Amino acid sequence: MAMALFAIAAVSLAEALNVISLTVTETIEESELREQLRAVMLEVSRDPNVTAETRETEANEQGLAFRIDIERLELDNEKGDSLANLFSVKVTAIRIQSGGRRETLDSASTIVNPAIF
Amino acid sequence: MTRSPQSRKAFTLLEMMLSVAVFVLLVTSAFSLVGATTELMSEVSEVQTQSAQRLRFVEACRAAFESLSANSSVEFNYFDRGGRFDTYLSLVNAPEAFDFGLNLRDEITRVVLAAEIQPGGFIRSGVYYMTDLDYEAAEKSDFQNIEAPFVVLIPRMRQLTWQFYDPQARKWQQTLDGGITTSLAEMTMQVDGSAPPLRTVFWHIDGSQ
Repeated sequence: MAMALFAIAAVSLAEALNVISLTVTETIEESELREQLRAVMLEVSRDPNVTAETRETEANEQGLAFRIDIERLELDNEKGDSLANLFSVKVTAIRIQSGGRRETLDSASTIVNPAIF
Repeated sequence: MTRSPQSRKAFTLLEMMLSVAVFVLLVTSAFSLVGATTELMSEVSEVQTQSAQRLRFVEACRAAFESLSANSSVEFNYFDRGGRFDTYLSLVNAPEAFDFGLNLRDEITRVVLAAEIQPGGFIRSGVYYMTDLDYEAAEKSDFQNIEAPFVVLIPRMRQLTWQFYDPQARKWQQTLDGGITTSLAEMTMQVDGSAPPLRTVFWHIDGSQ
């Protein structure tokens, strides 16, 4: 009985610690992923030569790649005037597993007017 | 009145040996569990500390770049130190960059983010707060004798490299040589081998444009 109780307590403690470690690791990975996503978003959206295109960066050592979708936007303001030179930029972080399986991790989007930068 | 030997209650040798074995097993398990737990928590804490250090460094750099104004500019110096390069990224006329209370003096015109190779092969990153005179003297000595206040940001790093986006060529360049004017700087840093290099990009107003 004592052995059983001890075993249950020990396994529960180890499991709890394992979950804590995994949570910490995931939080760190998420914050670093967001940092990389922000970097790609800045790189693309602040490029004065931005053009409509869809491309994907090469996967890094961790299998992390970014898909970049840039579309020209045709919007009018309240007066009906056309708002020229606007682009919609979307960056998606993708994890490419060794078997080729692709997992979408996170994405960010914005609207840019390259003439500003 | 005497009790017969058969009715006397006591543990047999086998029972005693079994209970001692169980006790030893429990104590050993408890010790190994505590040991493993301590080790795991120590590793988790180390990883957390390093990640926080990386992100604090990136945030400090981002805040410095975002503090640049229309009067500011970015300059980049690099010096070959036996096959590896010391790099110095100067934020000119940026009084609020890396403001830890040292660059409040009006005569500080350059805040220089340095990545210097140390004798052990590691990189020491830190910030120099330079007046024009300090900068002239540093340039004359190829930045080997810098007489200016210095704040260490990360004392031991494996990598701290810069690239600058050339909008004309539409590619990243390793230096600002050739009069490149840019508002995008890429930093790649690695504190130690346990985590992969972290790439980040900073945008800034470039007063030289």
